Amino acid sequence: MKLTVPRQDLADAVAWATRVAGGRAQLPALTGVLLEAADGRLVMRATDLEVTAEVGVDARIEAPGTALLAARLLAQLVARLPDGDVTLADDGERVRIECGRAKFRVRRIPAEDFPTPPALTAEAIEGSVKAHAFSRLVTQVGRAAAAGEDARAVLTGVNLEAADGRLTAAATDTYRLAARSVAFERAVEGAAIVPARALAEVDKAIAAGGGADVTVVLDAGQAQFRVGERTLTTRLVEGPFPNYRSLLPDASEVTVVVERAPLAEALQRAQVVASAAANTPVQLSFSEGGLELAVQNTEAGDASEQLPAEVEGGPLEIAFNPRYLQDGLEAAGTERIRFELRDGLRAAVIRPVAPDGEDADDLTYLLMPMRVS
Amino acid sequence: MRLVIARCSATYVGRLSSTLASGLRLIMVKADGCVAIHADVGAYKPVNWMNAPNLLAEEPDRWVVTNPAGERLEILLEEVLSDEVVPLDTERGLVLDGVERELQLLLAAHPDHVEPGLVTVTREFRTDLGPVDLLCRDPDGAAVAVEIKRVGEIDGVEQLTRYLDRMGRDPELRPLRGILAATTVRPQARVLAESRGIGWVEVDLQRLRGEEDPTPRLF
Repeated sequence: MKLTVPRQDLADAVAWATRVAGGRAQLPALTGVLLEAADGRLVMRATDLEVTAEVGVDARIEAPGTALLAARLLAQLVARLPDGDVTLADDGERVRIECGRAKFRVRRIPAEDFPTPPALTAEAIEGSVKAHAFSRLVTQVGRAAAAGEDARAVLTGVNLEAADGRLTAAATDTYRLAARSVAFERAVEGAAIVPARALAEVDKAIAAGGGADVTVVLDAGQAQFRVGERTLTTRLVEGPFPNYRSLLPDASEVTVVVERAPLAEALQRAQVVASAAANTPVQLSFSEGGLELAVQNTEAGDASEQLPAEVEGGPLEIAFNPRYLQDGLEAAGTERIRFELRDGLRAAVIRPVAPDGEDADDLTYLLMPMRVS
Repeated sequence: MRLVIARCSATYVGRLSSTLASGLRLIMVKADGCVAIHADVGAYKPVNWMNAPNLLAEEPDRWVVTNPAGERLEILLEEVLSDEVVPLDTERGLVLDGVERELQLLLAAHPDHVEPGLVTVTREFRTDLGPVDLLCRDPDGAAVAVEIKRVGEIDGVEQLTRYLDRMGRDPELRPLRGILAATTVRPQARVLAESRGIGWVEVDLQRLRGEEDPTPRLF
């Protein structure tokens, strides 16, 4: 193997592949990034057996070949090389890396144990989504997924369903639920529960300027996302995903439209007081002409703030976990948002509102209230 | 516990085949018959092992470990540096990590999270291979051994299989079945458990903790 590649291209590719899949090595081969040089391309692949990252860059290939190199070492090394072309060449048991006057010889890792991901099956369904729409979908919905090792596996994933030319994403940690759909440019049907962390990495690949579209492939046991030169393949979380549609209320007693940014800022101020003790709720009181946001904390003190709002119905009082409410406001993202409420004890809905008063997108953020003594 | 430090190589033939090249290693032969070959890396995990019940046939420079499942581990001893037998204390119950201990306590109090209708008989029911986490009875009176793990893996199924084998010899515990309970059960563990007629269940620790939770849940 001998090739030359621009340093920045190599650094970006190695950094992404290493971050996606280099963190949880169970075998020595999994600490490596596999370099495959052929036909004017250098393809790099890393995997932790759950997520596989593959990224290709254009390269001048003088001799095709492969090498498995320690991923973190290579990422750190390439990140510190001076700008210019990097040459990688076989050197016995090592690979010689040269850039300007810097020269390294990096020991190979035996590549025989590096796993080959299972090929996609003929039954896999494939469609594409606009990259910016997919990125927004992932950041809106993924925040409602459960995190941490204690969580039920199915709740750490985002449920993706393709049907009727739409791709619908949903996630829930049982306290809140986020669901939204985007246009899916093929009328195919299928479903998969994708680990939320894998989708977050797809989002980062989009942010890195990967391309205008994301190709989504849902297959038995795995899903694949292709963005420009980057491909992320992930094992699926075994289901079933909770039947969340039955939880969505079909009517509301009180609707409130409010400016999102002032509410989010007031909430952040109140959280300073609320965070002094665990499980301190933020209380919202809706009445004609506005809302009052209040926090009472016996340890730290209390806070309140009044905001204008368009309230239909009510009055009504409801309390939320401040962090979950903050997540809902961020997920909506629009200038104004709408609360749809039934009473102070049943789940509330937050939706984005477009400037003309219609829903900006079909995001539904369902949030359980807290009990207040 | 027999502890042998030896330069050795090993060949395993069973569910898969593996060959361990020559090297200086620690071979542990436990009182229950488990044989494990450890290298100087890898935390708790041996480089090769055979779970009990086993038959160990010793020759001067060759050990052959076989089990009823037809698995076979052959260890070729090139040089024995040390061979000691140290009697260890009898099993007094594993000190569980925080999450496993919490799960055990919560599931003992709420066995219906394992399976509706279960009633807890006792925690840490003793068998001569160690304590099983919960002994329960189902509504039909059948005994149910519940092994609790934070993450349910193949090892947990193997462990429960051994407990069930021992417990099944007690007529008062018949009929008997087993359930592996964990916050997450790995796909391979599910397959192995189902193939052995053992149940598995993923329990929601947050929901179990939820008795004092001020935020009700959507479902």
